[in-house]
Amino acid sequence: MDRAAGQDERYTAAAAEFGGAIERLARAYELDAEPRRDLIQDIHVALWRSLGAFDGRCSLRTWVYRVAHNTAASHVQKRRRSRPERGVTLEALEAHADTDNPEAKAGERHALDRLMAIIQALAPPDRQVALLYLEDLDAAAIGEITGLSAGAVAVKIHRLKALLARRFAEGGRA
Amino acid sequence: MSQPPDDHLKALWQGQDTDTPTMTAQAVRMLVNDYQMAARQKAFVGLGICIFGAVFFGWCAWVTPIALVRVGDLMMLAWTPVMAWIVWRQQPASTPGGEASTMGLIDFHRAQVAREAPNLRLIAAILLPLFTGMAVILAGVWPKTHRMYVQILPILLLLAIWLVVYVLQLRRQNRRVADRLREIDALRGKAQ
Repeated sequence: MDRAAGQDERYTAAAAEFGGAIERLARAYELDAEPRRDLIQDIHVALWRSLGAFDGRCSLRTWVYRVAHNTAASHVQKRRRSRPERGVTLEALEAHADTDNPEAKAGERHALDRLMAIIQALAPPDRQVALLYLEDLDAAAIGEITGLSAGAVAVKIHRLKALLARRFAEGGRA
Repeated sequence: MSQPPDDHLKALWQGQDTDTPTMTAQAVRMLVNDYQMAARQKAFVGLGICIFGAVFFGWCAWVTPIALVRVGDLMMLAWTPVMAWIVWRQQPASTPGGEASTMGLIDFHRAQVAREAPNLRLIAAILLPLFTGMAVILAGVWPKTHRMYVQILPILLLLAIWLVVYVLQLRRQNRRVADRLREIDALRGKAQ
């Protein structure tokens, strides 16, 4: 099997297995439908390109998430130039009074909407950890993808879990 | 009711309706080719302008009967390969591959943004030969009659206006780059 064919085959397998996760990730990074489609397309292009250099030193899952998050981070950087977007850190969001939160004011809303609102309010590095956590990756895998130390990931996950628990306890389960 | 949100939220998150991507490897190949073509086209347009400049000044140097003008044209001609090199060098670097961590990517973006800051030495290296060549050409055709002054003055005026606008634009670009670098540094700080 030549290299190009191998790349195509790996891409097809990765896209089939992780297509849903890529789309969920894109939703968390891009609110608008049209740029989100572009982002998904960019992630697929980056994934296909990167798979030419995939050497199996990490799992395909780790590789796909790393490429997807890197591309999304690039997208956020580009969008900042035209539309300033300022996420907040987990610490800031924890300190923020829930009464100021638009989703709380809106009354009963779907749990997923609230979850998405919390995630989209996070700064990209915290958002990345939150998304990987929700995709059920463990701290070691998250550290491998983000380049953060295992300790830093553990702290962020702990804060995230506390934040989510508090928000959902205050708002009631959906 | 306040249950631990872990499993419920993970299931909620992963259970979202998604449109399964239908992109084939062939479609991705076409997109990649399009992106690369667009980047190359920009560079080639710049190179085309440089080649046009080289041909134009070469032709001017060939046909002009005035020695000083010929010297100025040749200086401009010598400047065009430098400009071509600069245009080629301005192409964006390729994005780090899948092996790059988020931190690595942030650093890459910082380097890219920093590259957009006006480099005064480089600008001087571009403009100095250009203006010297223009000054020599102007000295060669310096008006001897009132009518010729009227013809040349608007050009000098436009050149002066362009210079002022260019300096203002450089200052603005400097501020924008500094703002973006601060944003990236803040982002990097938050990630640590």
